[in-house]
Order: sequence, then C-alpha cells, then structure tokens
Amino acid sequence: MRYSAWQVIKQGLNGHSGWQAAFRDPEPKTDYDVIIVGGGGHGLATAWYLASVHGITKTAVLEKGWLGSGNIGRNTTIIRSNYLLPDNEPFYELSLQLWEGLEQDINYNAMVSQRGILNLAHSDAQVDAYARRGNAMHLAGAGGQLLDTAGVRKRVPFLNFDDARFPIKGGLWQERAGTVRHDAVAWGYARAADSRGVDVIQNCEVTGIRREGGRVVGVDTSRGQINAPKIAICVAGNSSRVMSMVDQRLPIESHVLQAFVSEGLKPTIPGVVTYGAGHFYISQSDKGGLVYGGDIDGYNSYAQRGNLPTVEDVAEGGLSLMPMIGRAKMLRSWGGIMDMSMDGSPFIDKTDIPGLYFNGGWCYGGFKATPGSGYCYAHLIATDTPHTVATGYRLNRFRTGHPVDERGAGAQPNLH
Amino acid sequence: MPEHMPNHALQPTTALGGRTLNTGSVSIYEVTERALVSLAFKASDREHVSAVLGGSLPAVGSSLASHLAGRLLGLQIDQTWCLIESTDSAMDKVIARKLSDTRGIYLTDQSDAWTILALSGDTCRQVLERLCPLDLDESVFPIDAVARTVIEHTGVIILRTGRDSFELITPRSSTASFMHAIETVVEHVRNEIPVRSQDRQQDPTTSNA
Amino acid sequence: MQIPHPLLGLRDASEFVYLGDASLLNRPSVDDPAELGSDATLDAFHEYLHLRHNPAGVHKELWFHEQGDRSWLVVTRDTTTHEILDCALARDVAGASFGAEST
Repeated sequence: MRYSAWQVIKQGLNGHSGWQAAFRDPEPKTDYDVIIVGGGGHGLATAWYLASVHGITKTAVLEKGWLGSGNIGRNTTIIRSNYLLPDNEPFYELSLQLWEGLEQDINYNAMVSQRGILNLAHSDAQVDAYARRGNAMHLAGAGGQLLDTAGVRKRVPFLNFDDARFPIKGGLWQERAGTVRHDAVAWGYARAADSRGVDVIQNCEVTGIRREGGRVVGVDTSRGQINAPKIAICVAGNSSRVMSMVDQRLPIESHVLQAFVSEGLKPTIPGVVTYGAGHFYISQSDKGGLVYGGDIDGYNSYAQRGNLPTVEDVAEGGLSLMPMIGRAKMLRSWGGIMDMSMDGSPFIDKTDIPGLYFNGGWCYGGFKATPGSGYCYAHLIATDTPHTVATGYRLNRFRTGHPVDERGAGAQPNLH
Repeated sequence: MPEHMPNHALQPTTALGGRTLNTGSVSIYEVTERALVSLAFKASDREHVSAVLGGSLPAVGSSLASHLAGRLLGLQIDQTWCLIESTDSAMDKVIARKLSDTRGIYLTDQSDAWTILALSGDTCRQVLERLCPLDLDESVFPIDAVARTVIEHTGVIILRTGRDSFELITPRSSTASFMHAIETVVEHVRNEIPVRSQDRQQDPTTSNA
Repeated sequence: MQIPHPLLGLRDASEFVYLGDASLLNRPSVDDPAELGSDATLDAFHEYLHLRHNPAGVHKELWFHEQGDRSWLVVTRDTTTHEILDCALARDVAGASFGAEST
C-alpha cells in the first residue's frame, strides 16, 4: 500500500479498517543471496539500497531483538554533514542528501526536519578551526556559514554569552542539518525493503558463521541455519562479539553513551546547539522535550546503562552553556552501546574472509550516517568495490598507517 | 638604591589573603605558617625509608606524627608528604639534615604550590559529603586518615584532624575557585538546616531520642 | 561504580582514568635492531596498539587512580553488568608476569 494524502482520506471514509501491517513477519527461508546480520538502521538501509539501487532482493535481514530495539532507537536523532577530513566530509554529505530525499524515496514520514545545527566557538583558535572546517564543507557542497557573536546571539539569545572563562566568540552554522524521528527510520526502511521482497526477520539471533573452503556459506541462528554466499555484518555496538565467531579481533572497543530528555516544554531551542568548551549538545523534540547528551562514560561496556558522574558532567556542561535549563526536570536517561574505533571513524569494508563484509565502528555518530552507510555498504556488497565516498573506511587502515583521525586523539577509543 | 627609585621589595601574600568564613556551624580559615615537603622513594626502598624515619612511615591512607619531619601523610605506596609547623621555604633541606641517610629519598619543598584550608564545625561533614566522593564515616575515614581525591574538578588532599575538623590541601593557583565552591555549598547546607531540624522535631522517633 | 582499591578500599570511579584492556601491559619488545621495521614487528605492534578482544563479559582492564594514590590498577569487571570481580595493583600483576619485583 502506498501512503499518500489520498490514502488517508480513503481509509478515513472506511473507518480506518483497511490499513495493513507496515511490513511482514516472515519465517526465515533456507537460502538467500545476501544475509544482513543486524536489523538496525544501517542494516535495514543496506537492504533497501541493495534492492532499490542494485536490484538484489533475495535478502534476509536478521535481527536478534525487535526492530528499533538497538541504537536506532537510542540516539539523539541529529543529522548533519559538518566534518573536516576528505575521507569523511563527502560521505556524510552524501548521507545528508539521502536524508533530504528519504521520505519520497521510501514513501514514509520520518519527520526529517532541517532545523540547522550550530557548533559554538569559545576562543579565537576555535573560530579559525571552524572557518577551516566550513571551507572543507563548502568544497563538498555541504554549505555552512561562520557566525560572529552577534550572529549567534540573533539565533540563540538565551545562551550564557557573558561567561568569562568560555565566552561565545562565534559558531559554525549548517542550515541543512536537523533532526529525524529515529524509530520511523527503522520502520520506514523495513517497510520499503519488505515491499521489494526482502525478508526482515526479527527475534533471530546469529550464533555462528559457517565457512566452507575458506568462504562463508551461511549462519546458524536461534531459528535454524540460513545459507547465503554473502554475509554482511552490521551490528555496531556488538561488532566484536559477532566477529569473534570468525576469530577476528577488531580495532574497536564497546563503550556506553548516555542521552537524556527533559519534560515537554514550549518551543524554545530552534535547532541543534553544540557546546565548544565542554561535551554537551542539545535540541528540542517535536513533543517539546529537550534532548541532550555528552561524552561516553569512558570504559568498556555492553550494559546499555551508564553511571552518575557522566550525568553530572553533561548537566554541568548544559548549565554552563544555558543556565535557563536548570529549571527543566530530566524525564528519562538511557544508554546505548557504541563501537568506539581507534580513530573515531567507521568501517565499511570486505574482510579477509571471502563473502564476509563488515560495517561498524560508528562511535557515537552512527545515526546521521544511516542512509549513507546503507547506500555505500550496499554498493560494496553488490559490486565488491568501495563506493567512492567511502574509500577511507578500510579495516586495515591502522596497519597501513592511514587512520581517519577527525578528532586528533590517536588510537585511544575512549578519547574519541 | 638611588633615592628616586621606588622600593620594589615585594610582600608575600597568602592565596586567600586571610579570607575566612564562619557561619557558627562551620568555619573555614586559611592555614599559613605551615611547610609541605614531599618525600618520594622507590616502593622497594620502603623499609629503608621507614627505618631512616624512626620506623614511622604511615600506611597509604593514614598519617602520623614524626619527630623528624612533622606530620607524615601516607599518600602513595612510594610517596609520603611532610606537614610541618614552619615558614621556612627550604624545609626540604632542613629535613634532609635531620635524616641519618637520604640515599634513595627525594625531598621536594612544595609549600608555595599549595593552600591549606582548615574546615571545622558541626556541619562540616555535611559540607564535605556534598563536595567529595569519599566516605567520611569515622569507621572508614577515622581521625588522622588522609586521602587524595577531587572536589569541583580540583585535586585535593583531605586530612581528618578531628571528628568535625578537616584540613584540605589544594593547589594554590585554583584556591579562589575552590573556596568559592566550598562557600557555595556552605550556604546551601546552612539554608537546609532549619528544614531538617524541623523535620526531626515532627518525627516522634527522633524527637524522643 | 566504585572500585575496590587494594590499598584504599572502595573509591568512586570518577577519581580514576580508564586506559583499556590489561593486555596493554604486555608491550611487544624487539631485541634485534634489524627486526625493527620488519613485517612481523609491525604486525605485533599493530595488534598491540589497535586490536582488542572487547569481550561481553569478564574483562581485565587498566585504571589509573589519578585523583587518588596515582596507582595503576588491573580491574576485573563484567562489561555486561559493571560488576567488579577483582582488583589488583598493576605493579604486582606486571611483576608476576615478568617474574621479577618492580624496582
């Protein structure tokens, strides 16, 4: 069923009795062309672009829980393409362009809202760094505008401009950035892929990867053996666990990242604002809750919950930037598990094992990358060559000396 | 010095310039006329150092009085600090002269790098429990216990000198910010006290006690 | 999260700095200068610097008590629950693994 205004009217006249489930709940078949391990945003997007761009539809997406139960439902919903390095910026710009056309592409309202992002600068050096970054963004066609203090004050007058230690010297504004309703992304991609014949199989945990003659041939799951000549891992957060099934160690540590939402408030924060003197960023959801986050807790974790010092740290950052939010009550906090790679950048690559592909290492920037990641991963799986904007995301880049070190923190995953 | 030139002899001042705070239930003042010397050694030389100090090397986490080098603070397995009643700015050399054998012992005068704040009063534990992550219960942190920890993102050494008295040793350069944090919490605790004592009066189980 | 320090008792994790997998204690060494740039040496250092087991479950890891007694600890912790199972001074762990007292 194609969603449209006409369909809403038609179903309204029928007492809304004709709506169908957005996607099927199929039993796994024994054989597919491609198995995607992980039914998160990236895995579902990969299945959709394999079908819509490359015509590969005999695909199974295996999800150990239910759709939206992982990081696609645990992030802060921000999309942007304001990176610096040539290995990153064109990739994230492709992703942002795919976001801009997403709802038409998959015929689903994901509430893509381009309300802009403002990265604040608190020193002259930081203004210079943002000028450089803005130029890199323009080279990739991403736009961007450097604001002075007056320009920042015009957009977000409620910030703490008079802070003696961290004065607001300006900011980098990307108008095309914004937020998206994250679980609608999972549902929308699942529905679109399902409509092309992809089997999205929930509650199906992969327990082993089968190999014959060096090649992968299938997976063992909690719902039986499933065969395919191409297996695509897409389980960021749990990448090391899955890749240990083929005895591979990765340049990744799993860390917990917390996020927070306040009670619903009247519209007050127009876009996304990031603090440049501490790790804190904030936006306001369409329901009115202030959605904010900060740093990872900083130790290996698979627990999906964090500790109080990080809550305090994020709150301190927020209060120092916007004292007015001190009166807002925090409603919920939650944690997600991040693949923290050694240089803070992701991987979209073939592995040393023929037929086995790997996508992961998204650190805490995976949500914005969802369409780009799916698009480039589908390209890699279909053609066995990396997409032109994802050539830097190699698994062996540390061995060869080609890290993509956007943050400049080196091989210290807890510093990225 | 020619007569027309100003006299540039500088007067030393303390970090807080003698600032004090006394609310009745808690008082804070800056302890001056105290020298601090760090005494570092290899962990494997611990027994030798203990012997040189007259067998009085404190365990990590505790302090004790020594006739050779003032109060010894056991801060690390291979480092002890000496807290001495003195204004001598070369106290490291004074201690070195007193010790029979200084091989493997590294003495450094730290006095000017630190500020010592004395905190005491009925509510000083309530103030500290809001500021630092240590368990200050007397069963865990008795009198003479010492620990390095963090208050308001600033490193601090806490020495318990009595049931309701502590000394806080903190880097001199950030003392003003540190003092501001303490003053803020003192104010918060003071504002909360009437509410708490009122609660106690209304609670029969505690009013009978 | 509180860490049961062998010398100091329970101390809040916020006093510590985390480094990661305790296997970082075992840095590769190259005795033969001719081997410094060899593929085997580069592989060994690549694995040491970049690759991790990253288990979901029991994990031995290095914590530094920066806002405390400045000791390095080897903490054994379950990464799925954050329960701490054991805590030892890294100098003792390293001393044992190298078969000598640290000096």
